[in-house]
Amino acid sequence: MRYTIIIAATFLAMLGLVSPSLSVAQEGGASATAATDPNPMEIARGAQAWAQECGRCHNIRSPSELSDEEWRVSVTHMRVRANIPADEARAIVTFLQASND
Amino acid sequence: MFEGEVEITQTDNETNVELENAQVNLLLHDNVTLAAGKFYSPVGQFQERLHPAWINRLPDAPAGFGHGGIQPLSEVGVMARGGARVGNDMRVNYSVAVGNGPRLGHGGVELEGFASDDNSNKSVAGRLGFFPIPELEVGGSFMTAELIGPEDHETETLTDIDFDLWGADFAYVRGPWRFRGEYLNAEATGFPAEEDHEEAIIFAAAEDEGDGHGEEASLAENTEWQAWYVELAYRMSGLTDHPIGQNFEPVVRYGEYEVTGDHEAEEQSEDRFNVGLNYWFAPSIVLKATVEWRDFVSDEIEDETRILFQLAYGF
Repeated sequence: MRYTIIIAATFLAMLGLVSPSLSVAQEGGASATAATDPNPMEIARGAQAWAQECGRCHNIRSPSELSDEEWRVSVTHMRVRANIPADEARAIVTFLQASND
Repeated sequence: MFEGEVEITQTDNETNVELENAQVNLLLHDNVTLAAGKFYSPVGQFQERLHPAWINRLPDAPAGFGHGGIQPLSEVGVMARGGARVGNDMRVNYSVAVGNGPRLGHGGVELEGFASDDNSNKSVAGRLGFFPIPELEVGGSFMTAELIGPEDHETETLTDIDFDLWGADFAYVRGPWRFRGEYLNAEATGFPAEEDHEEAIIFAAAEDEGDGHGEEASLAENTEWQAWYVELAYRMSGLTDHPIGQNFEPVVRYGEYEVTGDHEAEEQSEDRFNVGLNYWFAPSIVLKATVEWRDFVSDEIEDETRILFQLAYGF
């Protein structure tokens, strides 16, 4: 019987090569500010988008799994992979950064 | 943003290391991203979104959707993609890619991204997805390309083979339920009549050894492929809050892969049925166990029943 063990090694190198005004990563700066003074409406919108968008393909991961910076990287990756509109991706980052303490 | 993925596959007697994707993404607009490099094919939902082991609910791909199947795996080129909200609840997303395209090779049509183009004809592929309600996504995909075919002995020129693919998919995710399915249909047409060429000898530029002769390919006639599957998974957290019991997830999948036309390629046809049970240690750590029944259409290949285990960790 043929068996296959797959070890998938995923490495992400977010280099911030994009126009700063358009990337989720840059807007993490705004989100970092939001983390200290979060917009409740944005957080609620992000929570809803987080459950719908992330749960569509895989299990939802706890906000506490990653740091603020790691969430910015991860959500930017997922924005591209899952074709998530940028405004929703920003709301998801805001929610995750406000919830990972 | 740059992202890449390396896959290491261990089989009985060898280890393969393969660059799955390596792409630069330019976030041009809230609704437009431009990707360049080697990227997962936008066709369908399985390859681009579901194939990672910690996401896929079963240890292997549906029949026809993995390596050697009809699902395009990757592409080298450029791609535009994005999503946009329509009204309050509906959403659309899109992906359009132009790349070097598939080739004919030992495995028939090889649908992995090639670093160079063996002809001057680029492939075009894409997918349009629509969310009528947040829990449901339906999508349609296409791919069109031209392949270098066998030599036509009458004209002593290589033939151009048209390769056209279309597909449809859906995914419904609500609470503990995950229900999804996918259909792909592809055809390769334009092969010269069998008496006009030496069967299965392909002169592929990419395999050119300097004398114009390439590798042998297994495809020599007009051929049609169909592959489809439906998959249902249910997380037991919908029934119990027991700390262990809620982590189990039974899953079933049934799919068919049918090839008609080329005799050798037809032997790949099979029906595949999986019944599995997963245990989730964490949202991205899962132990999977499944029984898989493979019913090959060809009498020359013996049907088989396999038991598969897989431990997957996503990071």
